[in-house]
Amino acid sequence: MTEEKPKTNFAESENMEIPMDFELYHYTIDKEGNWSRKMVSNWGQKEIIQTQAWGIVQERLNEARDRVLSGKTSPIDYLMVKSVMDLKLCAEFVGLPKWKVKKHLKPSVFNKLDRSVHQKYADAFEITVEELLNLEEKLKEKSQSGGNT
Amino acid sequence: MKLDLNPQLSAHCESGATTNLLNYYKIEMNEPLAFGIGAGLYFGHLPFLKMNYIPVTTYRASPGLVFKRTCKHLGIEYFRGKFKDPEKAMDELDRVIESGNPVGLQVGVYNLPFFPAEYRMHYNMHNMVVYGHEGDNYHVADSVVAGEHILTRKEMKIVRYAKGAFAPGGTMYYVKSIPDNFDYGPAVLKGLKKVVQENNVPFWMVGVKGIRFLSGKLRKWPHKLGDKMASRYLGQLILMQEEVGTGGCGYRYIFGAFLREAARVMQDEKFTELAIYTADVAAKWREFSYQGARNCKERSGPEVTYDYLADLLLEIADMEEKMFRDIKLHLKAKYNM
Repeated sequence: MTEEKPKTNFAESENMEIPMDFELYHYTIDKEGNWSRKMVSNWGQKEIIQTQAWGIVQERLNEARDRVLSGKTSPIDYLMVKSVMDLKLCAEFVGLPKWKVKKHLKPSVFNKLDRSVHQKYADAFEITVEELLNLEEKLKEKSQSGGNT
Repeated sequence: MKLDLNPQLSAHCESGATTNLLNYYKIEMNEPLAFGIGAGLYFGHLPFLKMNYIPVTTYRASPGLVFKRTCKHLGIEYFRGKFKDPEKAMDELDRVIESGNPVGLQVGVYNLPFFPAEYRMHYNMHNMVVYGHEGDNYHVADSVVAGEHILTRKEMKIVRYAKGAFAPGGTMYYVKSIPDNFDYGPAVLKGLKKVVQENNVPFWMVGVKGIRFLSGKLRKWPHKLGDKMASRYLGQLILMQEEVGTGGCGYRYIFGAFLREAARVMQDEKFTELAIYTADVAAKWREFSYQGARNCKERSGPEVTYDYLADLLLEIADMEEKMFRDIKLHLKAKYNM
């Protein structure tokens, strides 16, 4: 039985474009002490801060892609960074102990894994097992076609 | 079944959720009041706790406290709890909504479908209110993102059981019963007293001491971490201060608004004075983030020195100390608390 997967996964960290129009309430207090609030999309330097925050993710992502393509780590490394996780968080999401996930980062170990374990990872990242196993090819294609560096 | 809830937007998610919940029971409440009675103002720099490999700095009380304290100080009976079994948690949610009570939930934002992409980190301290339930769909009122949202049962289970630091673990809360009449006055004073106490505890990582501690750390960042990492640490600091649901300057402006509300409730003009002073403190925080952000442009060296920023923080710490001391003295002199 194929259940429809919930569309909760968030895959945009690869091509993050930060819209600057999301508005939040900001409070102000005037000289008499009266307060008011209004919707503000930018408190002044929002762009710099957000660009930096997602720039870090982007940079880590590029590094992880290089690592995966050069055969140093398994695709899990890339997916982990893509989902803005660290090792501990990834282990929690997959439901395996941390040391096991760390072991699975080795391509030689990862390729020999049981399908059920692959399935676990695929579920955690909300992709199919085939997508998980073919990720390397996909990354290769992407980096050849200019990619998204 | 959909309850007749009129969702209001707010700056801070938890005081917003509290406001929405209490407004449903026709209790006069607005965001600053909820934030203040719930004693939400706080500061803590926690280097042992990391988010995205960067130490966490928090500007508000830990999740759940605002709702808890607001109810406690107003004498409202409430329920707040976690569930081990997700199915049970969902059934309980259904049951409470069917019985005609809107429910507040603590959720992780990473998997929330309606949340704007740039804010979707593994951040588990978001709060929202569920006020309707039809088959598999839940009507959700978010206090930060405008509009009516619908989540399926499956999505709901995922966000309620998000993983990571401060995992919500299915936390839900709702109002059980409200007293016939209650006084805002004592509640406001209790909230103020709590805030003063919490920000003056003798522990070096939190409260006024925490700001000084952060100042010392910040001074050392460029030497210890290098310019690049120092700027990232600073960036996260400012992100938490200005962006992640704060109403500006790490909640200091909301607290000022609360002091003004306190003046209205207590008929005491001294609180207005304090509110104006709090606005000065908030302005100082804003100056800090303005100046700090200049160091956060990637691939360029620092434009302002970290020593200058650290000094600014020390100044802020002094101002906050004065603010809390004034409140404390006033409470003692006039209300004998």
